[in-house]
Amino acid sequence: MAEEAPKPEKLAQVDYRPPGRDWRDPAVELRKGTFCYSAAPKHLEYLGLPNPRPWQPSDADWKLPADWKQIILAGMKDRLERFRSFRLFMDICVRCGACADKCHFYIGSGDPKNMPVLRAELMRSVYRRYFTAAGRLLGPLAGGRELTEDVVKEWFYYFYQCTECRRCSVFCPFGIDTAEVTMMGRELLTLVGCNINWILEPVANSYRTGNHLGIQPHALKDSLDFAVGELEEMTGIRVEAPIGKKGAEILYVIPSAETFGTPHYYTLLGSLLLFHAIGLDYTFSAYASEGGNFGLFTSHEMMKRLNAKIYAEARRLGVKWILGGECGHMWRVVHQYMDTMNGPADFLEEPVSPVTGTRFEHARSTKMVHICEFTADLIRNGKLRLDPSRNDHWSATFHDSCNPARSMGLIEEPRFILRSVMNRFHEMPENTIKERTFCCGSGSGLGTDENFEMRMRGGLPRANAVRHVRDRFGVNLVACVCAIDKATLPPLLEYWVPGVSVAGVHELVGNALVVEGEKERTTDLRGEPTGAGARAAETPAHE
Amino acid sequence: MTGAGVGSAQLTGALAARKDAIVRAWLARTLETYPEGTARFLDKERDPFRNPVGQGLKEALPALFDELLGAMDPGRLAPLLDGIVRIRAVQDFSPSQAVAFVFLLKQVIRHELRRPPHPALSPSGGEDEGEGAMDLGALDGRIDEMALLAFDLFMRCREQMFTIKADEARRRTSLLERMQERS
Repeated sequence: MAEEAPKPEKLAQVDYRPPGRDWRDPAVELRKGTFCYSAAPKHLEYLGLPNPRPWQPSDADWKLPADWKQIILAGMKDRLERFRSFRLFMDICVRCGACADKCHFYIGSGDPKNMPVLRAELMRSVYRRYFTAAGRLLGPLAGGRELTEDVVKEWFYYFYQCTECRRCSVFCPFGIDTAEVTMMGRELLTLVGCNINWILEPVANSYRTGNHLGIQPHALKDSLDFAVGELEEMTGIRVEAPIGKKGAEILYVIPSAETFGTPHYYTLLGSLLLFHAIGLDYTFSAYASEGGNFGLFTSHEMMKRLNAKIYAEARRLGVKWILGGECGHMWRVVHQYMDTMNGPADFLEEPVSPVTGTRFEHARSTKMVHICEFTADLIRNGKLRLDPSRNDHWSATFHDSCNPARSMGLIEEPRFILRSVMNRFHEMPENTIKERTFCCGSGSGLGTDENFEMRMRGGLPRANAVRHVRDRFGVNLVACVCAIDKATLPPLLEYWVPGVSVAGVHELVGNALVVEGEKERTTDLRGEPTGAGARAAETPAHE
Repeated sequence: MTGAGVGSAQLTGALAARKDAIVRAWLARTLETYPEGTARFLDKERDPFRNPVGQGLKEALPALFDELLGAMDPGRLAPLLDGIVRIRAVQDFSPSQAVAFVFLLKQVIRHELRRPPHPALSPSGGEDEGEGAMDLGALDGRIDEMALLAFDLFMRCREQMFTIKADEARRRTSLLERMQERS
């Protein structure tokens, strides 16, 4: 689309004060760089979603179906009846403001509608107007707002801006999970065909071929073979990477990015080496080749559909239990929704580590254990030989990925592992980590390049805390356990905190792991020289 | 850039004496470029990790003011301006709005020097005549230099975003490329 060139008189105006605006005015300015592109019709068609058509958020006409308003209101009514939490979250907020300044997008953008309370109010006002007696009678006087096309556009802009990180919910005295309000917003938008490509293409691909990029079984095998070959070159050890091995004890499910993107790939190398070292009987699957579940960002039904594939494959292969890799939102799905959607998985066994005998009781129902829980247990029981000095070229901090930290409470395990496999580890300030961690700014399917400016805004609070430890302790590495973090933190840090790299926890485990029969290791799993000082030149002063 | 001093030692002294008031007013005007409630938050929240935008401004503006009265050393100016401009380059600002905070200083200084009238200004208090006006002219020149530097940095940030986006796209499929190279 051609942009209109500004007139000279407009250029001469330096208007630095924003106009005072009533928040109830739904008009949004869709600036390039701040929104995601629409989903291609073919993906909607493949998934059987309504209203497939070519359109873009920057178009004046969004080509909504003729009865769009009835569809949304009926969808809202249906969900208010089905989900008690949704009705509760619509009713109980007292606007205390505890959440207001906790959102990374509000902190980074200054846009008041990014205050979680106000973002939720965009929907609550419509709820009040149509679903409460006072709102029906008194309209705006009772805090109600008409549902108009502009409101749909406003919802799209803000509900595809919230990364569903749930930081605000930590501070809410009523326990309102604002991410669930966003999720409902996205479900309702999906009913009229307003969704984004960065989410629906991976969903369609995962549904069809099992992973986000649509990598087919033979290509997955090529990637794993390539990894096995590279690992052998670096360590002298030939590991196995079985796919679809029936009767294996454990099904290992990873985010597919580990097989094609960096730095994710080095995490894959680390875990392959680890499983070899302990002689684990496990298998990958070409059918369930994606831990990520972008269905979570689309609708409950879509999340259930994709999650079911993992369990169907576990049943087909006849494994005892499932080990999950360094994925973020996969763990929100498993811990908060799986059990009532597709569970309990009573055809599997309660997970027990074959090496230490530890029983993972917390996974009794889902039968799925996080690789950090598994590895921390190995280290705690002295089952691994580790040489932390092999990570001396790194000085690391740990970024708690939102979903593992806030949705499953994975706080101490990664830290225990990191302190065991490396000598230099420094925490970021307390109010930016653990359950109060700041989001990368690109979660929930928003990590696409057309949305880059928005991502830089949302990631500012995280990057700001990284800058603090870089300047104070010389930190040159952010370790994390989420594939979206690994994809989106590198550009974030390149913009805000140059000189800091990103790695998965199991890449660092793989570096430190001393494996019987290995050749002298002169490089890390990136093929780069190790030892203190090896990366010193890469830590520049602030630009 | 310009050497030490703004012109008249009298004016420099007057400005240095009023540094706190000037910087406070400059900060307030800069914060006004954000929506009202946000401006209040950016001003009041003191934790730099909860409020990197506001705290960043509070640290950078006094140091920039010192440079304005001092050596205008580009080595010190650039990181200070970059800290502010880098944020505004990704926020909802047009390019002119993003760097306008530098120009706001002209109005702030004039306003502060008029209250109460200062001998550095001409007896009429006007800014278009007399020796004081010439000094202010030199000061304006320095502020313009600062604004131009801010604009260069703004453009550098925008260009950097394109490079980073290209790198990001490469990283997404880097392994596939390496596999192709080897086959």
